[in-house]
Amino acid sequence: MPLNSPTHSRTSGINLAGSLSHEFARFRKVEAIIKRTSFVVLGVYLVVLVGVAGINFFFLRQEGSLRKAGESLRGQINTLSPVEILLQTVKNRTSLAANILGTTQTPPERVLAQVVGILPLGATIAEVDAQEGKFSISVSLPNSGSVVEFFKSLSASSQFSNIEMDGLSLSNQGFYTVSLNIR
Amino acid sequence: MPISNIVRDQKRPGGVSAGAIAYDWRRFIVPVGVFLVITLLSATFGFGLVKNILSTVERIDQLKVENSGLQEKRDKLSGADRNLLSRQAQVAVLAVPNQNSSLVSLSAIRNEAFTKNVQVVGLKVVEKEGAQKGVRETGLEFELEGKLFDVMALIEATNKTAPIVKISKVRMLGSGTGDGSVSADLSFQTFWAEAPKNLPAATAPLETLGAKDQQLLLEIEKLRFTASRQVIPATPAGRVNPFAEQ
Repeated sequence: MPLNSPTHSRTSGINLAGSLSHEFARFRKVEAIIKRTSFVVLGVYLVVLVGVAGINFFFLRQEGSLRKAGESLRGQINTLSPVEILLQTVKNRTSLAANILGTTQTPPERVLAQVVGILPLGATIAEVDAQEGKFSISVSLPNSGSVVEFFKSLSASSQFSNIEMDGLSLSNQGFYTVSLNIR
Repeated sequence: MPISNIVRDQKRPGGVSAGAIAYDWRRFIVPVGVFLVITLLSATFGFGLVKNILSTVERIDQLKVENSGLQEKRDKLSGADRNLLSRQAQVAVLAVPNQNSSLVSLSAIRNEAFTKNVQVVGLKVVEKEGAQKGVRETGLEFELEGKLFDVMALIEATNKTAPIVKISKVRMLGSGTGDGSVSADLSFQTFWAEAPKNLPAATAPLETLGAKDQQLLLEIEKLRFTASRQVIPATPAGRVNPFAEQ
């Protein structure tokens, strides 16, 4: 057969079939693997799915038992409510008492008691005006010696942060009146 | 597909035939089917289950914390000394009563004034509006006359009586006679507060008494409760009981 005949050219085209059949065989192999593994994958997936459902069931049961335990504890706490009422009452009253008593300012009666405590012999209170944050006092003293003694006692006392003298007068009867603002 | 078919199909003008496409699909029907089944199961059950598990685990954690709090609260309540608490509650309510305490305080201060030889010249009860930090106040104003040291002793004594009273203002004027007599205007504050009406939720943590509370209770216990809460009627005198048996 001459080489340039049509039959010859067709024969050279068929040569490609060799490579095609090779690729096809590989393709068939992959196809078979996919087919086989598909069922395996499905099986594994189903097992996993059943496992997940089992875990879900386990957790749901655990939640149920915890809820039950919680209800039981609530019931026990309810039976102990009289104790809780007592405790809450005490707590409430002590916190209120702390609020009432817990002031930062020195109570006026304490300053008064401190000043009265250092009054010299023969001294009398002429006037007192005491409230929180303000304390003014006028003291009548029988002689100048007691005035000095009173001032010394005031200065020696560490209870007062600030003492201002408002006035010092001498009466016809010979009594000294000292007016002070104390803080 | 036989090789001859491929060869035949390749020979056709226009490329792949309809038959070849159908054959290709048939070959992939199983993996595609499996994929579809997995997708459907995941969409209908899988994701729902996983979501459910995650939310259940979260709820379980919350329940565990809640139950441990409840258990702690139950243990504390069952371990508390009921008699001691009852006594402490009585003392605390006497110090800060749950109803207006002005009359009780008035009576207590008058009793103290009487025992200290201080004369009560006048008194006034002043209602104060509003409440501070849950405490309601009533003002008591006393006009007193007596010796300075007796008035001071009265002031000292009022600080140790229950219900709790606070001195808000002291005004004194010396008599000028030199005998130590003073006339004093003392303003007191008395306090009361309504009792707690509701218990907190069972899950709320229990507030126990701290060291400060115990210390304060000890101080409150030292207060003297001198006045009674009720007026005891005087015994009948000079009257004849008409129902008495003759």
